[in-house]
Amino acid sequence: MIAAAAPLSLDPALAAFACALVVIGVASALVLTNAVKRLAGLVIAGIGALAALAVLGAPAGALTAGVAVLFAQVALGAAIVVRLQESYGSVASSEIDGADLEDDARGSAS
Amino acid sequence: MNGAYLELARAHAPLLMIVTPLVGAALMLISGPARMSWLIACAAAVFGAVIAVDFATVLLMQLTHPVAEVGVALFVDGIGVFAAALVAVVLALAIVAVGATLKESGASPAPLSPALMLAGAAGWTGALMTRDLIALFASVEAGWLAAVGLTAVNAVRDRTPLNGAFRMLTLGGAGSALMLLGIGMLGRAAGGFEIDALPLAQIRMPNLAGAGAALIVLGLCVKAGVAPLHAWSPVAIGRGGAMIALGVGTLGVLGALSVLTRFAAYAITAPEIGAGFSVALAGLGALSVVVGAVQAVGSRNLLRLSVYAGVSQAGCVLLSLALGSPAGFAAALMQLVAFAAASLAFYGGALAGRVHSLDMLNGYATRAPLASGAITAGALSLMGAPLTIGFLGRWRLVEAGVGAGWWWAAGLVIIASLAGVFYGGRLVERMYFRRANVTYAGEGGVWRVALAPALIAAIATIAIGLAPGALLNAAANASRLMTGLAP
Repeated sequence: MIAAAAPLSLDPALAAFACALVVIGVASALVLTNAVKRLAGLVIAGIGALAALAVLGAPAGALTAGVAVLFAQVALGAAIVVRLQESYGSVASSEIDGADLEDDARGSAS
Repeated sequence: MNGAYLELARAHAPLLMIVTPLVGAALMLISGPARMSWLIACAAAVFGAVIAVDFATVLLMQLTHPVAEVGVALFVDGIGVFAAALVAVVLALAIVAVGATLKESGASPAPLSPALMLAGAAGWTGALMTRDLIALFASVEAGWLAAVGLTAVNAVRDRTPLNGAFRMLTLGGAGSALMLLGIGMLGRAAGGFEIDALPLAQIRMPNLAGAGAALIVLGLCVKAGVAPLHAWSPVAIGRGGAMIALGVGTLGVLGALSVLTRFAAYAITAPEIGAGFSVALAGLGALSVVVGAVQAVGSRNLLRLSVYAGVSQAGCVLLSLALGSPAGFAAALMQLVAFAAASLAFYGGALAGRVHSLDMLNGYATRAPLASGAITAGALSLMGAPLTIGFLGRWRLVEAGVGAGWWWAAGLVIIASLAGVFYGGRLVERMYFRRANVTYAGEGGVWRVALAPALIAAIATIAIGLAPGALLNAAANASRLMTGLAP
């Protein structure tokens, strides 16, 4: 008698893929120097987290809440990036941090 | 008749505590003049604080259960109620304090900033009153995004807070992705998303559950500014004004720490994951205590010094939670009160005279004696000086730590206090024993009313240290009632 084989499931592979997306997105958001790319990293991490929730069988309400939060983050982030460009003339974090250090030094001297 | 309305309000207090700030925020945005909108904000915040304190008193001191059986079902537990009352009181004091600086932030953000503070407080309160982990996530993000918005709209005179707001967004966004992933993992492993089910759940996959709980804590630690995840806080707060210091540095951090305390109190009592969770919390707490203390010692910016002292205090909260006992939870709640009072007194005293750097503190006591008194009380509490609430919080932690055999934790707290003596003493020496080399603004430049919250916090810092009985009782009852009182 041959035992019936367990049905193949893509869930583990999908879960691993979703977790990889989260890791890549979080790393991009923290390591990259361009503010727009960091924002894109956040989107990737958010999509990965939503995909992981779906694979793990979370209810629809969880996905809705996640999408709403991700949308709010991107909207707010885009607005801040525009203001950064206006105020600093750049969206590169190294230049922005450098300008802040100069502002600090000027503030201490005055 | 009035008594009946009071009972009705009490029965729906958890809902009112969330709705009142939201209604206040909405009314502010349509109210027009800045001063009018500030008065509305004050009314909403004070009303919310009265409801919250009354509810917490009834629940924690008289141990009765006044929650309505009908209407929107919110989940009420001891830690949630205690922390929500603290958030509501801090919100009321912060809103009153920022009144004098409304015009500084420019015409357009003037009504928006207190509205964002109210909305943020509603978010944190919601997270303290929810049973579902998904609702907790949504509420935390509402509170956090309001804090990011508050920082961004107040980058008017100085552009640095804008950089801080972007750091908040990216670090907090990364934290929220990890938190969402963690919620999915924990829910899958525990078989549900109810926070109160964790201690009793039959967890089928402890490793998955432990990883999920750790990711949730990581996401919350970013928002609470726990080291080494606090890269946003010195940038956002260090050169910001009163709105950012009080709305983000005090209210936002307190909200995040409170939610972290509540979640950790449930997760650490789950038998399958409790031990590992405790080790992770203790490690993170110890790191935060040390990093915060070292950075505070080296800081030359007064607001950043306060931020780093808060990081160290957050580490003490995590160490208290890591003990995993009711005594540890009560110590964590006392640390939260100590953080809130010291932070309000410190920021309020500094911002009343627009003092940012340590050099500007020279001779501050002669120019601004009341503000100097507030800073002194905050500094004494941060260093854990006896007869202050800071001492009480740390003493409770040492007591609980020694009781559990965690001598190293007690040692760390003592080291943090010694570092506090160094940087706090430096502030006191500059204020009282040096002469001002440059003329800076004193207290006269702002409304006296703006200094009142800082003085109230300073007096509370000392008064609670002298007569701590009621607060200790409330904290002890709150930690015992953490298993939930919902109908």
